[in-house]
Amino acid sequence: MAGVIEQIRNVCALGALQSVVAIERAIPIIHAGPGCGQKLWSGLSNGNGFQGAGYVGGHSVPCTNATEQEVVFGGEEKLRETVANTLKVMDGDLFVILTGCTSDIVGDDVGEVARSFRSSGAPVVYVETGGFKGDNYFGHELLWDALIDQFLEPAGKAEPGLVNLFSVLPYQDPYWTGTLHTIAGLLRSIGLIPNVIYGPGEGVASLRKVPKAQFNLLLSPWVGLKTVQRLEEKFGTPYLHYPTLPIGATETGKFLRAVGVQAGIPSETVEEAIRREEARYYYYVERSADLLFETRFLPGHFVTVADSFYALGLTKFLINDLGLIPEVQFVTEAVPEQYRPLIDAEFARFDEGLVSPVHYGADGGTVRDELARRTFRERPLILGSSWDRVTARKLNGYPLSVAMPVSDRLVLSRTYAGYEGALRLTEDIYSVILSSFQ
Amino acid sequence: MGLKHDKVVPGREDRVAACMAHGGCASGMGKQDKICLKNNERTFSQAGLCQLLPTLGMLLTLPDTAVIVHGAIGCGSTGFGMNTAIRLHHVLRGNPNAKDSLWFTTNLDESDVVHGGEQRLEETILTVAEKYRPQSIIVLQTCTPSIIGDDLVGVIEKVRPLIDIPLLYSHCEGFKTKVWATGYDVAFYAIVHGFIEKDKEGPPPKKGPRQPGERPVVNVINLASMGKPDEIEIERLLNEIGIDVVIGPNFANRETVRRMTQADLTVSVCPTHDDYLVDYLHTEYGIPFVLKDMPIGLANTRNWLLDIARHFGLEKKAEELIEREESKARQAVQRFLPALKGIKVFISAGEFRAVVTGGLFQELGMEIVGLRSYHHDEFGTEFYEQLVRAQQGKDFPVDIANFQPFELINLLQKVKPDLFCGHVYDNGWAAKLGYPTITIFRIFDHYVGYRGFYEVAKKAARNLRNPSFQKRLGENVGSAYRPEWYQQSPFAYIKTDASPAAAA
Repeated sequence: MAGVIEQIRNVCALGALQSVVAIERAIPIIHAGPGCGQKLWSGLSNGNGFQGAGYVGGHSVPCTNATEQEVVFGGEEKLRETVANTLKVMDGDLFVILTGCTSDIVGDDVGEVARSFRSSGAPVVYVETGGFKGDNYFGHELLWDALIDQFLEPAGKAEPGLVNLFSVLPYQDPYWTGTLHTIAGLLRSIGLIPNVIYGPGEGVASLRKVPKAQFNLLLSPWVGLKTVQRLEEKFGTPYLHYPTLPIGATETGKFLRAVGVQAGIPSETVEEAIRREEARYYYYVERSADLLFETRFLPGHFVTVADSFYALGLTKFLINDLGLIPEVQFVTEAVPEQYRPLIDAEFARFDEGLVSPVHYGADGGTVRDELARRTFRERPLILGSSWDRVTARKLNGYPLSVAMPVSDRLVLSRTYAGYEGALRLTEDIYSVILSSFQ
Repeated sequence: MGLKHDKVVPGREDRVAACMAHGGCASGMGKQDKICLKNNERTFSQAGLCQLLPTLGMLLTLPDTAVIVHGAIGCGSTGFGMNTAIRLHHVLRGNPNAKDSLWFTTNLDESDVVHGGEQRLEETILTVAEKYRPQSIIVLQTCTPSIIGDDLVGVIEKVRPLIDIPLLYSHCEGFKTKVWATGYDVAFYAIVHGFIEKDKEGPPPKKGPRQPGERPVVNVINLASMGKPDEIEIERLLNEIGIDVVIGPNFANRETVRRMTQADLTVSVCPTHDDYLVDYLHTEYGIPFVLKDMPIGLANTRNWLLDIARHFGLEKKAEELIEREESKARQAVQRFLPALKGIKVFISAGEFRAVVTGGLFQELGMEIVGLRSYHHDEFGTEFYEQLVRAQQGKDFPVDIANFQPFELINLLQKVKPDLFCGHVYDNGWAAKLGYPTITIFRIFDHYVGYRGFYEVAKKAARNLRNPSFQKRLGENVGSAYRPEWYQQSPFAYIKTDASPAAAA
């Protein structure tokens, strides 16, 4: 069954429509069959922490709802009509046409449609995200190619201290809003001005500011590397690539120091910020020590089943800060071959000389089979998706849903990033353990 | 043609002249030329649904099944969410340990689009059958393999003799029909062909006539979205007048589905949902049917019960039961009536549910001020007129829309209801405008019959008592629509044969 995927953990390239939804006052226009939007939104939002439709998501996304007519005779006219009327009905500052399989197979000239609206002054861009082209991580990068090529304008002088934040995928990561907000707070704590494009904030206005940044911060194992490289080519903006999502004191401190160096911030400023945060953080960690060590509610080995952001970020925290022992980690998005060595290297860099085997692949069946053939002598901690709760039950493990699909939790502003996020994660893990027998 | 002989299930726009886009008033429904309505279109539209969703929604209720979505990875996006929904059904049905469905996607990529995906599909079916041994395998054909010419039926018929597990296949490509209710037909087709027509044992023989003294058995066709409480209510009412029931095909196994060919009568709970299957059981097995009403609200439940009872000469028993139950139900809702009297309600759901729930609300002293149906076909027509008559000729606007929240919010701001009653995916938009909302039905709740009458009244009164969440929400969230849009007719982007859309 090569290529077949059991228990999907991400969606197709058209899932990038949720990245558009995440930008306030940006409006996606789907040029595809009538069910694509609903399925992708259900998978990424409703079925993943119940993130809601938001300003213009769910059934309110303009869509050509392509039928046989458009497949047989082409859908350009239908698209043109839909875009023209979208501009009359919907209140937005940026309109992004995203195509699905039908349009990409029949070869509609969507670029021509978008250009004709742009030439009359309407902010319309297009991106060809037919589902067969790749997953939504891939689609997200395609979206950024389109924004860079068709929307962003050179800014002249860079604004000192302004940093564009590129990190987790909106909606795919159920914790994206809280995570971006937290990272932005960390950047502010050392005197920088974060430019957060997604979530509550300035939306399209933030997007327009992208070319003005002093540098781009890519906080991601690999997703978005292409984007920051293109931004450097086009606008000359340098970038800092920090591969690990910082969770807990160890990694967050390292992260802030790296950003400080890139931004040219005096190290005393950075160290003072870290001291302040750590004092508060360890106050709570100390409180947790009694539970962890006196009552001996330690889980057995841990497993993560998540995309590379979380598999790596969580593993580092659990080993370096929480003192747990890794069993095996599963990276669930399609990581292009050329980035694997980079991720492998990060997975080989833990304290106490610990190493953890890493599996790459989106197939949930492999995860289940791989776990089933291992022997767990103590109850393992399994940080994965809601799919993995079934496996966790069979292994008598402790499940915590952290990766898409998360159907057993309502997620609003929760995050596991930074200092505060690590405390939240510790609370969540031990609440699972403590509630398992009560 | 019909379910047995159709090669591919026809779209409902062709089979029953279903309409997806219309704006008008209730008193005018059914008076337009149907063919003309069928051709209506929107020049602006928002993301709808495709037939894959209802198809899957039904097939996923089959126990211990494996789903193979043949297409790009995104078409299986709803997999987990739907599993969760079905699991909740099973929990409520007292079966907390039901196995989750297995989910696979053939994950077609760019190279498959060039070379075709038949071989991968074939391998997947065989491997799933051998490795997991589910009770049935469901294969769903999506847009991409259909456009590139993968021969689904060819693959199915090639592997069917090689495995001993029922194979259910569905052509449910989104682009093939505008009317997603076609998906119900597609699911019935898959079930009938998988468990009856192409079953290893072949179709069961026709049943002989009922023996004297033998209790009549009726098929009650359930809905994937129907909760266990409603099935219990239906069974209770029919049992009381001396009728036994077989409930299916949702949540039924192969044996139960095959048993449906042996009934004395088929009863629909939602005519617009069921006619394709009802027709099959009638044509192939000679089973008469009742396909007219939905047992929601007092009058409709009465009609529904009497129609069934009449088939077996049980009217008298039914009348007695109805009198008893109605009097109890009227008594029970007394305490809610003061809160509901004169409440102006807007209803949004599938057409049949919307119109019969309208009748229920009127029985509680409420007034309908607007109604949105997801599609329109002849099964619903007469009900609109009844609703207008029941409120002394007070007409109300009707929007036939496959979601399209832009029309809904425009209409709501014009009719300003006291209460909004919508299907899932509808209530959020009304709540954001600050209107009190109730979900038309949920699988935990009683909705049909007498118990349902009481529970809907209670739910409406309870929600009207404290709509503070919606009020605060309405005061604090923005609108995604331009101010000009609210000045226009909600139907400005509907194009008919007679007139192009005004705003286009």
